[in-house]
Amino acid sequence: MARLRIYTLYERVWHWFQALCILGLIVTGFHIHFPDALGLLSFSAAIWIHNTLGWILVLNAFLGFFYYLTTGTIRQLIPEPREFHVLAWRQFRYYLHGIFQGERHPLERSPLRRLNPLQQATYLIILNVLLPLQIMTGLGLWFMQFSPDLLDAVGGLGIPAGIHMLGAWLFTAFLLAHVYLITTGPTPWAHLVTMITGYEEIEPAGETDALGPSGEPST
Amino acid sequence: MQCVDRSLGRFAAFVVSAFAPLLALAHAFGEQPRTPAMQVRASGEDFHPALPLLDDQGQNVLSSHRPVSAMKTCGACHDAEYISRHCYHADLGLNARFLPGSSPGARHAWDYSHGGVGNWNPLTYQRLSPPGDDKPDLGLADWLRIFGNRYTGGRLGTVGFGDTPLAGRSPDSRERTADAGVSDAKQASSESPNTGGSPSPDARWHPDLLTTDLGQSAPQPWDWSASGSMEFNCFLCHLQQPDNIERVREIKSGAFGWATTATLSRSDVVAREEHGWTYLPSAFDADGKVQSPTFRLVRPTAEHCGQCHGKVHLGNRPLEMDVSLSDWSTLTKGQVFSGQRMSDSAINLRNKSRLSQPWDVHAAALLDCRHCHFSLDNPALFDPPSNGRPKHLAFEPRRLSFGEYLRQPSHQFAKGDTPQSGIAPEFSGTMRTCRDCHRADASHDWLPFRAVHMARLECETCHVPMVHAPAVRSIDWLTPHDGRPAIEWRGLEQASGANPQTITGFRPAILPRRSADGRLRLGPYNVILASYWQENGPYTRPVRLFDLAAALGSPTTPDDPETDRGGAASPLEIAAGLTPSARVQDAAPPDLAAISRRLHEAGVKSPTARFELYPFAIHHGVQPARSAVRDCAACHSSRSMLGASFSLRSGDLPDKQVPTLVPRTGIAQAFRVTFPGHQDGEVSLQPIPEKAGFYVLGKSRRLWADIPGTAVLFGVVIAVLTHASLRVRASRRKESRPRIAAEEAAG
Repeated sequence: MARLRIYTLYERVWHWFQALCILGLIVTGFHIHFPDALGLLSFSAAIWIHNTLGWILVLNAFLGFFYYLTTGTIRQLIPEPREFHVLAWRQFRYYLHGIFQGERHPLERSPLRRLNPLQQATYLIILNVLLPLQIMTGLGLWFMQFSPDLLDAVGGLGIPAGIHMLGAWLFTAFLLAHVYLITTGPTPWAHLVTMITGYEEIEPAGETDALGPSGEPST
Repeated sequence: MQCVDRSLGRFAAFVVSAFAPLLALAHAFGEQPRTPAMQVRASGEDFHPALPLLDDQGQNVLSSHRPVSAMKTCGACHDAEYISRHCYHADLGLNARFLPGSSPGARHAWDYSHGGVGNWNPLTYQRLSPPGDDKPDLGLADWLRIFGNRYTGGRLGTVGFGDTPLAGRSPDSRERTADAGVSDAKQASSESPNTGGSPSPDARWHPDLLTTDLGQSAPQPWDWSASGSMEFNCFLCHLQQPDNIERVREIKSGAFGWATTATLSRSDVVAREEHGWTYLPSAFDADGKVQSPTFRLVRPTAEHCGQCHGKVHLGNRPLEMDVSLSDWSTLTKGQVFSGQRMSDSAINLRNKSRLSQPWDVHAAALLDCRHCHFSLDNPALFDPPSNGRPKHLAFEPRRLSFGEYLRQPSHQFAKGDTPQSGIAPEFSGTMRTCRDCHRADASHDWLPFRAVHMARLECETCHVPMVHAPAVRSIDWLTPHDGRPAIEWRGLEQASGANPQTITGFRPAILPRRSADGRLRLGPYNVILASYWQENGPYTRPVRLFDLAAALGSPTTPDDPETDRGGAASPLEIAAGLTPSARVQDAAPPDLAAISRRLHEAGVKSPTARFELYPFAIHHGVQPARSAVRDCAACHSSRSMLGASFSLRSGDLPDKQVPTLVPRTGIAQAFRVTFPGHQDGEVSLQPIPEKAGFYVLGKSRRLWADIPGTAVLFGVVIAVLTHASLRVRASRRKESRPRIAAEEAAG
């Protein structure tokens, strides 16, 4: 068993910070949409917290984008076009069949290849479509409070609020699937522990691309 | 030198600080309490010089003994002719008359003006029939006798639909055409047994010359030489204590010419005697000018306006509530203009001890109607609207001198833009609104999304959350009994057993309407459901009470003395009284088909029952800030007041008829009408602001987002649960295999 560092400290802090923001946004957003359902907060408090968390998320997303871009980690999110279909099908088949047969995970995780093809595709959609859509509609809803003319120009809050709401449902669905899929590691808690500690115990299988404890190739 | 200045300064400061409290105390103790009568609010109102009272010939009434003419009396110094011609209170929209139904702004096919006459509404019901009407309802004299209590007099009352003065015109001096018209009418009436003696078609009907005896008989000539005409009555609004009761009595009796004189009777100038009005010589000086101390000419106060417009109550006497047709705004909107605390009133209000706020915060702040509804050429208040001046001009300094203004004060008053009043549309939106006096930004720091709230809501939506007086809920003319409609009130709990009648007040319906600035805003309204019969044909109109009575076999007037119309009261005036005699809605819906058949037999062409919703915007009765809506959940929740159901009528509507919003009110069709089964056995109005493009966080739903969103979420939940279950099952099976193998090996 090799103990590899999969996530750096910044990546973990960034991830958990973003997770908290998204969780808070979902809860307060639910409270705003269904004020009578939870009764945890006053409506105005829910609005304030939602707006504040939204701004923090936007700022953190920008910092994360800067980090991923400057460190080259962003490449991890880009699927390999040549093998994508094969790898994606392998991963899909694993979730539908292999996982029940106790087969080995098709992806050997490493600091340079942390995401399987399905994750890459999902994150590509989340980061390029859903998150920008949520940020744009959220900012739009926020900015419209200062400009009723802008509000009139887009036909009122109805369209942006509806899109924002649809995005929120999809984000919640993604979050649920994401939380479940972290239990599909070697043990149900393995991926979660990795995201907390940054390290993962990896069983070498033949030729591996395992890296040293520092995350560098152990050549 | 500096030392001397400092000493003088100290001395002045000492004097001010020593005497200021004394002066304040003296002022406080010296202040006189208000008396029930109309009060002069501020000193300096007695500058008006003594004046002689002149008759229509310009003679002093002391010698002529003829009725006082305000036009001649006031016209000696002021341009009374200009004033009466520039006053929509005087012509009631008749100067902008159009062919019935020909104006795009008309609400009904039979409307012929946007003003108080010609713009039909179901509360007053009876209409002043224009010249040429083939089924006349009321002549001018009839209309004045019934509705003149809310009319100042003026062009309509003096020249009517024509241009020549009515005063002095006797039946003998009528034009030949009109004379022939009457003869024709008489003849046709006697020859039309199928109409039951109803007024017969008369193409030459002229409302100025003929009367239908309050809509009860065939046209007859009216003798203006005996009645006099109803000239512009300056004293009604400018006399400190006008006697409106005596004025109305003269009008109801048809003595229009004496109405102005009767207005003076509380000023100790005239007295009613057996043979008529007598001027009191003691009230005049040697030059024939009035010297009575009670004859004081003042600026109009809210109480003056309240004589026609609604309940106004100033002073310490506990407010009482008796609503008649004169209290129009109270009747239609529950409006009470008073600075008195509600808890100090003499009204049986629910939770009265807790209602420590005034009826109207502006009345409590000593504002008067004229502060917002000012004369449009008042040099102190005039400010041309921004769309009427060049864009670069922030302020228009040119205005009348006070001398010019006093000579020719326009009596076109600044007015708002409401769905219920279409008079003088050219002046709509000229009045001071909340935003002209209040800086909402300075006092709404706590309000998130402030600009949007201000752009989407009328101020009154939050600041008039509750109307604490009753108002009409529905009026039903389908089956009038004794000429009375069935009236239902809202905000009023009828007496039952030992419990007295209680005024509960009501929460207005919140509906979207386009404001003067072009924005669609949600504002508070009372919505009255009116039902009536409409006669169809080349000239549609509401079926006359006369025809209804003939068809239903019911008299047009009550026969019991308590509710006697006194010859000239509006049917509504009796029905609307908050008395046990007020007629309430029949328990069972009427048989429309049977009544329609009888109306047809009585000569009414294609009668159809109409059910219409009449919105009345609520702009008065503003509550103090502490009573305003501040709780976000009041709007942003599933129980949002923006979608709160608004009762329209108890019971069901006959034949499942669906009421429609009367056209051209500016109100968006953002509501639905629900019927018994949905709302406690009542017909109700359910506002749906989303239909007008409003999206209210916490209330509004976007199904195109919520349905697929929740579907995806539930799909993921099911997928996760299924997958997890299969994993657990596979895991158990995997764990059990070695054990079974071991057991088999051991076995």
